Amino acid sequence: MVLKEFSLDGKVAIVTGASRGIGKAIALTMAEAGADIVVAARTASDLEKTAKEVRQLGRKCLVVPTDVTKKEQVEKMAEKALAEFGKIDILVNNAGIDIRKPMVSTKGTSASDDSALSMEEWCKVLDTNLTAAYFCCQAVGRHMVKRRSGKVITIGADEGEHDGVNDVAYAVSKAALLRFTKGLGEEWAPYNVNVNMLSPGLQHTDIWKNPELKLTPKENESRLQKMSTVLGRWGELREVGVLAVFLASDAANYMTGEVIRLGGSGV
Amino acid sequence: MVLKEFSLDGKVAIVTGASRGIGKAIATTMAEAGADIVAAARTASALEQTAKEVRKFGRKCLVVTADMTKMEQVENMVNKTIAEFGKIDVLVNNVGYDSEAPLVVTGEERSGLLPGIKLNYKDMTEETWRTVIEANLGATFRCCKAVGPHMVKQKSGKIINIGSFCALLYGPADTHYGAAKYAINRLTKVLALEWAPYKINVNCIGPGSYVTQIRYDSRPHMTREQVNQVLEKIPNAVIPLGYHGDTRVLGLLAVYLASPASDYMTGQVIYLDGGITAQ
Amino acid sequence: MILKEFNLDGKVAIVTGSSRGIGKAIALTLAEAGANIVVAARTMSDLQMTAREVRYLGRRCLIAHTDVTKMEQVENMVEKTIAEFGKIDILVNNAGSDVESPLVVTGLERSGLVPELRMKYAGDMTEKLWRNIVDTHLIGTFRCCKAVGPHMVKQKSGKIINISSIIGAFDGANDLHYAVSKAGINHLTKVLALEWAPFKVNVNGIGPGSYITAIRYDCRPHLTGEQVDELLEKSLGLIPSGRHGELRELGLLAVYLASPASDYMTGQIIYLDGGWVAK
Repeated sequence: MVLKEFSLDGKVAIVTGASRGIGKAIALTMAEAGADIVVAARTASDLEKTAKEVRQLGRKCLVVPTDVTKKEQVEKMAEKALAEFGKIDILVNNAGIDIRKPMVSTKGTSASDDSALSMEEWCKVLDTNLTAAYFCCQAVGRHMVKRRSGKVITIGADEGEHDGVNDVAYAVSKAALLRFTKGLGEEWAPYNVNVNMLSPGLQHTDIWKNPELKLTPKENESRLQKMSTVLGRWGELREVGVLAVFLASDAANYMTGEVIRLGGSGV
Repeated sequence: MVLKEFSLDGKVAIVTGASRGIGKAIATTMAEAGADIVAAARTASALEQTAKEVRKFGRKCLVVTADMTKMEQVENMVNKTIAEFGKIDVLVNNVGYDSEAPLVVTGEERSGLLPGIKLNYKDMTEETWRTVIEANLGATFRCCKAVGPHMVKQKSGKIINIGSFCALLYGPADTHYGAAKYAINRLTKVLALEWAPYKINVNCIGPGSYVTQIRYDSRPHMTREQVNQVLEKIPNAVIPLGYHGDTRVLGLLAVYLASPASDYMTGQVIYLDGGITAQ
Repeated sequence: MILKEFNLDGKVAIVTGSSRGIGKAIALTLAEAGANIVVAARTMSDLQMTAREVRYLGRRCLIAHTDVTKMEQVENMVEKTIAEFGKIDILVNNAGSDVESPLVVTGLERSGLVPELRMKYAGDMTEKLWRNIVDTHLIGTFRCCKAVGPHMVKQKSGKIINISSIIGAFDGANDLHYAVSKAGINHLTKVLALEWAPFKVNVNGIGPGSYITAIRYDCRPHLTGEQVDELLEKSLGLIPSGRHGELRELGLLAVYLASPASDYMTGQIIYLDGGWVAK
């Protein structure tokens, strides 16, 4: 017997970075729970694959190619979603990148060597992981705040709260996003718009490819195998999807400004 | 009897945003403790007053104009410091800026401390967002990036970032400022871990409520009188110790963090806030 | 040049557990900074050694033979202090011990410091052991604060420094009683900071990381001394700064927290741990 509060029947959800990985898993799980989905990412072709699977579940899917680091594109995405569905119930800020480099070169102390994080890389990571969330939340928030109803989910990371060595841009951007989530939760509480962060723990996604580390696929695999969570395993993407459904559903109406972590993070 | 480990004799400290407020207090207190100072900010005129007070303690003061949101200017500041002093022992990342803005203005916003008044907020613009993120987080990042290689080579150094109690406590219309200050906490810890092998200490001071210019500049939606009223109410409403802090106490904590006494401390964020964040 | 605010001339400090280790180091450093000391612990002979060293620094030292698990002894310690010195400026709650024990022995336990090392614990944590550790650390701190607090509140001044641990912030496997006690001490610190802020009584905590003291051996009856030596050596790899701390460094931080320099700081837990808790 499944409790009715866990259903997303009749809901409309926007998911950014939905072509693969966590974004795709969330889009599909929310569709399975009953929501119609708007999928946004930079390339239409990848999005179409996700859209196909959403439709196979019997739900509608609008594809909106969007560079979330461009404010006008994000605003257009929100407009298109509203034009198609008349409302937006859920926003999942999932688009994100990781450029894993130390602050200062490991080869010597020359700041211009490419083994260290460059200003462009820093800006790119901050823009995609933090500023894009501001753009999306503002564009969609206008509608949700007016309606006095909405569920916003941001995607966090263990590195936003622990470690982050040689991954400073990612760690700092996710930390900023955490505080942004809490602050927005507070700001929109009077308008019944919930804002929470989902921290997925270790998941097998492309973010672990890290070409800047210049490792062979075998070396990279070995690097990843050495990592483990408190629970002794990596996560399943569906586990993230299910938690996202919970946070997007009526079951979580009293939860805002929270960070929910999978994988035993923070223990 | 004051213990020798609290001395800054022979040290060279860069303090950004040193023309007034917290930056000025830290620069002058460090000078009093024995350090030579590089006072940096965007305009030279205000810096000269800080320089005068530093020199009164018998210490040297190099004045450098630099916009910390521009990497070339930050690198220029570092080069001038090395040219003048040959080393950098301490970096205080104090530059900061705030301008309150809700993401979506509804017109229903009310001040908790002045409930009667209507707040004339404007929606957060991309410009406001970026300026606040850059001036706080971006500036801290750039200075660490430019100074870091020198400290790594020296195998010694103390970096003191200036955060804020706003990192932990949600204020009105401050999703950008709070995010930037919380991110500075994280930057502090990551760099502490990355640079621990080189004996570089990276810590952060989180000031509470001090009466400085930023308290006015951050509220374009209020008149000066309204801000004064808010500041008057804050101690009883928000601060357990019941008073705004004197910027000198931030200088004293900065001296501790810059001195050999704190060699084993790294990755810490210390709030000097009369108990605000204990709540 | 050492700033005057770091001076403890004329102050009176009670330090519990000052017969050895961290407590002794703090007592001596506070004395060096100018304070007269009340040393309290259970072992008279060790206390006398500490007292001798305090007096050698030119300060007065009162010995209070005290078991912090007994309220009458704690009250007696406070009465003797007031009788001798007329006031209490500083209280350092440091008394405490530890004996590692899993709640339920599974046979699969590994060392937190050296994950390859399998630990052979004697048995489940007994209720007696649980009560003992919680009583000494958490309730001992409570008792001392309860006995000293009224005097500081009446004085409208005082500094309480609670000694916590990085284990109060993270990990703590096979050390539940100690971890929970220290986490409890962290929160006690914040609550008392709020309760006593109106009386200008500052309550803060120090969280030591890895220091070589007797407790590191005493807490591991299931290992030999050599095994503990090896474990502590191997654990250096986990500490970002790559070294254990020097006890004097804790003393210096205690001086800062006991001095006027930190008048505006309350409700804070500061970790002196070479970056461990920042990980």
